[in-house]
Amino acid sequence: MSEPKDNWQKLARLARQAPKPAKEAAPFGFATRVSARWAGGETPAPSTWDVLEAFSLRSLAVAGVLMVAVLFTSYDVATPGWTQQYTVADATFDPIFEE
Amino acid sequence: MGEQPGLDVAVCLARVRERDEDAARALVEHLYPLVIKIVRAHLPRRLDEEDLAQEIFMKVFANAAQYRGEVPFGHWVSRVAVSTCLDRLRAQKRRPEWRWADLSEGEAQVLDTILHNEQAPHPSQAADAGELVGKLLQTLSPEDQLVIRLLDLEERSVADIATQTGWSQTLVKVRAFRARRKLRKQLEQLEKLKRHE
Repeated sequence: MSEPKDNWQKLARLARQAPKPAKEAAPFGFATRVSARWAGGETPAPSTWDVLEAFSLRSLAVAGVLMVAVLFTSYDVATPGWTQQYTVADATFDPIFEE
Repeated sequence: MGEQPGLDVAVCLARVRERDEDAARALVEHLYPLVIKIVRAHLPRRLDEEDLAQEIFMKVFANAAQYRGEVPFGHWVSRVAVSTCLDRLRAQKRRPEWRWADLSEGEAQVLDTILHNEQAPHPSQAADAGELVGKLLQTLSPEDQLVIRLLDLEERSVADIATQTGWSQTLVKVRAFRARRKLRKQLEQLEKLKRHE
């Protein structure tokens, strides 16, 4: 294989020749400790990303509920065209009722 | 992948789902070589490898019910291990900036040979090169570190990395390209600093 010209590739190629650690068995008592922790009901601490993900999903749900609530309560404001039509209609009919 | 003969993983996993502690212990012993290899390759600074390995196994057991057998169990465990290491690396916000004076004598010699010698470096320098590469990788983002380790050091295929990380092959290639560019820049920077020190 020819020698790479790029410095990083040269370095990586040399690093690949570094002696690899031998395949290693679990240290004495490691498996027992882990299985006992698990059997004791211990759960892994959630990662920052897990927390962020859960928080984002909850925020999304709350935002959705708020949006629907706002649409229901402020329908007239959100659709001024309809409101104006009713206003015009009311104005038309008002004189009739006044008479 | 990292699984040894002599243990029926499917049977063991079924027993783990029924909260059998003996099965969990057998599975930990069986998977330990695979997990510790990943932990050592991606171990964040100042973190105990055994603590991180324990955390990975706890996640494996906590999520064992979600494993559907679509990929070999070893691949699934590798993915859990890699994502746990990435999370821990992300938690380390500060990345070191190396100067020439921070390098050991062996690492400085390797770098000198790489930068100025036309001949191939001697294989006896491989261990120092490994240490130096480890230092340079610490300057990269966790994702870049991962892709360079798997691609350039472990010589895994792009498709294999995409499977292990869940990234697309294009993303793997783009990350590798950018990470190598940063590493070349690091090497140039170190050389410049050497001249000024």
